[in-house]
Amino acid sequence: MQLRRRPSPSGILKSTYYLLVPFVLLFLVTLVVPTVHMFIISLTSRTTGSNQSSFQFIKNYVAVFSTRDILRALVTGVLLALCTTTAKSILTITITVLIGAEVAGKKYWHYLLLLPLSAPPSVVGLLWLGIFDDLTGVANALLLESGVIQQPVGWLSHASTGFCAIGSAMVWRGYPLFLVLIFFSLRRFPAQLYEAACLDGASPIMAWRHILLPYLLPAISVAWLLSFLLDLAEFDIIYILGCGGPGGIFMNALMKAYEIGIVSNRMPLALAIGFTVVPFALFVIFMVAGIFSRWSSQWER
Amino acid sequence: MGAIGVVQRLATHVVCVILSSVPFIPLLVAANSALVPTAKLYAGATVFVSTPPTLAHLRNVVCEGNILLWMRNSLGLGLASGALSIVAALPAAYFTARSASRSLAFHIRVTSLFSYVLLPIFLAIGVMITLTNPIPVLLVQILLVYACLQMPIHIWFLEYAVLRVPVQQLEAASLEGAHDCQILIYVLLPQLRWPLAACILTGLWLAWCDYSIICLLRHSNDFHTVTTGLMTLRVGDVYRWGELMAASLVLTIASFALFSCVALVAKHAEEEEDVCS
Repeated sequence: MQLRRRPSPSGILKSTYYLLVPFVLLFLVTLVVPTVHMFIISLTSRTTGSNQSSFQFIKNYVAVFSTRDILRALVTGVLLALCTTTAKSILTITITVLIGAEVAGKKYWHYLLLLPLSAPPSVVGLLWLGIFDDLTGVANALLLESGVIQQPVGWLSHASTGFCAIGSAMVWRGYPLFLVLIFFSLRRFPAQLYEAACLDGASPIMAWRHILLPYLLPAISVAWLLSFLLDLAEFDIIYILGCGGPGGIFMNALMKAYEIGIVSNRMPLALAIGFTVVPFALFVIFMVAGIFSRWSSQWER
Repeated sequence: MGAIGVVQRLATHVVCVILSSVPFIPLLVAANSALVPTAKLYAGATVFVSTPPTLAHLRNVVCEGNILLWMRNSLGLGLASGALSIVAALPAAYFTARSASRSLAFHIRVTSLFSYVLLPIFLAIGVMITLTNPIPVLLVQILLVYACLQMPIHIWFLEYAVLRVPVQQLEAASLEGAHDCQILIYVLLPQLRWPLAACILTGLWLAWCDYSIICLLRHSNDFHTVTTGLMTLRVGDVYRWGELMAASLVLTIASFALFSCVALVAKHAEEEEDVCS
């Protein structure tokens, strides 16, 4: 069997660790050293272009949890990521149900569904701005012409509509990631199980519920967690669709960190926001890796 | 097929048609704006092609604009950083695929994922601050960050490809006295042509799509990749709406072509490996 992974046959990879040198070097230079350096900066009051800085200890971290705007950005980011990820999973599961169905041009249909994943996020932001822009957006044009509304809606000026507009763009861009992982998982699905269940009288929905869904659960979990992380870190789409909205109502943690660090030149506080999110992200990453490892072991068996 | 069957089949097709339209709605809107000559800010709502369509915006973007220069910059950065990433990822992928140490392999996957998820988020700013003194050439910094960003994907791609190389070949080479490095270069590398091509294309695609990192790290306001260049069409209150949408459309189509290349190359790699096995 070719996909045998471990235990490694004796004689292969005798002195293995030097193979990791380039990986470790790149990782050290671009990730570890800057992280340590940034953590030190986050404990100071340093500003860009100034040599004066004083040690603040955890003052910046206390400020993260005591400043209303920052807390709101943290909560908004999590809420937005939760909503968009849930919407993506519902959309993808609907498509998965249809995957089993006989549809004309099925192969091309699958492929076209992946189209949004290929677009750069900043372009996605602009494309959706073309729909939801208050003045030139197509959404207002269509609703006005059909008589649903009497005057243009400020889609990106209000909390609820803005949330929906940004969420739509993020769902549009992100759902193909779910599909890719599920398609990948489906390639190894033992189809005879499904056929046997149908022959035994199970309805397509029952077969899907009791056979396909449990099989796809690891893939859906990995996709859900990855998508949640990526949505939590979304910057381009939120930035382009109204720069976080009036008063920063749609700002997530990353946008807030950008605003505080780059625009307001308070880098230590911005970095403290970043480091507040890191442990949470790390926890999710370990869960993803754990599920992924179990998933690959399942395949090996 | 009974009446219920016909209704079910019809309903399935209707849902499929609705779902199929989802990827195209924003693109149709962009195409509409790109073809309408009066598309600009404060011109009122963009109505579907009320005037004769024009290709002027597309022509301006492609022929008179700098979109080709931006594309060249993006592709250059993607190629260079992809090559750098592969140099680090290939040995690591060989290690994770064939090492007996499961826990270490697991940690390599976790750390690489860490870089993929967190680098674009919070650490690019830190890279900028930290590396400015030792490495004054900012292009090198961009390459390093991009390489680190691409590394986890390359490790996963290549690990999967290494696992498909028959163990017996590696064992035979090892018994003949070949060193790990020699096995990597002379046995594995020739069999990983297509996965490597897929990795390079993935690197190109990631560099093509990035906006936030290049915004933070680019060394001059004259240096643009496709995403930052696109934003030059939208400065303050001046929206060159038609050109903006035309450029968005061109870039989406180019991205999709690049993405399709990745998919085709990966598929070809898999088919070739299946034939070999």
